[in-house]
Amino acid sequence: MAAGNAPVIDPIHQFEVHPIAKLSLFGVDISFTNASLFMMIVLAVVTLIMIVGTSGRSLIPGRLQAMAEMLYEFIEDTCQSTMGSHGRKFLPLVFSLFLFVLFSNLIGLIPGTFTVTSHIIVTFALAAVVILTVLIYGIAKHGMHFFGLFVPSGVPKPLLLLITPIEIISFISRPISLSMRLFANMLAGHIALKVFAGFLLMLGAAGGWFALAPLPLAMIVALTALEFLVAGLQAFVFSVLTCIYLNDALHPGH
Amino acid sequence: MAEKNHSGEDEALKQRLDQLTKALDGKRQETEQTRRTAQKANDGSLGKAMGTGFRVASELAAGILVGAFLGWQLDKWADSSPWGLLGFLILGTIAGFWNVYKLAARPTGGGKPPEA
Repeated sequence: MAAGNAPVIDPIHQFEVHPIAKLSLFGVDISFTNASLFMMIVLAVVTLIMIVGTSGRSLIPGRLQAMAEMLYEFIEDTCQSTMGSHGRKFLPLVFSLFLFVLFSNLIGLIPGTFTVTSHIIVTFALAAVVILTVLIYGIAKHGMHFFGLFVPSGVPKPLLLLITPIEIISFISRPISLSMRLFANMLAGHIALKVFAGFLLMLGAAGGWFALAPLPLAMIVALTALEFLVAGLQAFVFSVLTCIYLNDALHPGH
Repeated sequence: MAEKNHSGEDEALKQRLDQLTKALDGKRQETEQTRRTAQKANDGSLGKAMGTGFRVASELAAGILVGAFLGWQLDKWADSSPWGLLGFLILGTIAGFWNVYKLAARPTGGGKPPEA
């Protein structure tokens, strides 16, 4: 995990996307990059855990089956408590998003890997999927009534002039905050780890000062633990917010 | 329960009282225990609290960012610099705080009950 081989410490280097196989389609660059590779790995791991985990179907679950079942029940609970039984049709979407985010975060914590969710374009794409689902489903199901979301009931007319733009901005800010939170947390955590690893390296190279090296090392250990918490937490927050936003599509008009 | 008629009644009452006290103590201990286990389960709420914290921070920031972006684009389009930016920045900030307020006013996790 410690920064590179050179004394130059570049905490951003780990986020660089570089093509593995150059491809282009109609002039659009669709190269297979390390980001694509790690998305594939995430998908493979998720698929493997879920398929192998659910293939046994034993009454007394083994480790993998217990894990698959716990993940599923956890998200099902979240869905149920936020959206009620109407929300069951969105369970596959929420579950897939949760698993993808969770495993991207966790796999990214393995030294030397690439963290897919530390790129805002990835997290924004995920958030866009959520918000587009909300918009399309909401409008298809409720028509114009869906826009009642922006006009809270029981507000006097003159105030509506102010409240409606605020509600619209607050709706637009949803995908932004959804994607920014995940991306910023992953980015910041990984940079912090790299920086402390850099301190370790510098102290090691600074003659007698290397006696102080255990301090940043302890910090790295603590930060790694924190990053594991954050990895799970962000996946959880992402899926909870997905549920809350989808609930707005199911039941617009507070 | 009462074996004798006169002073025996008193005795029986005392016995009953003792019994009840014992039962109450047992019950008390039980609730204490369940409370403790509940507290232990609540330790997982550190994660929930952190999640809420992250949400508040990003909600606030996102409102301001969106407001600023909309104002900036409006200024570019209508050539009204700096009024669009100023106005939308204020609106965006209000929207950010409004989101945080909604987050705090509504019990998190559970969300609102689905209206049928």
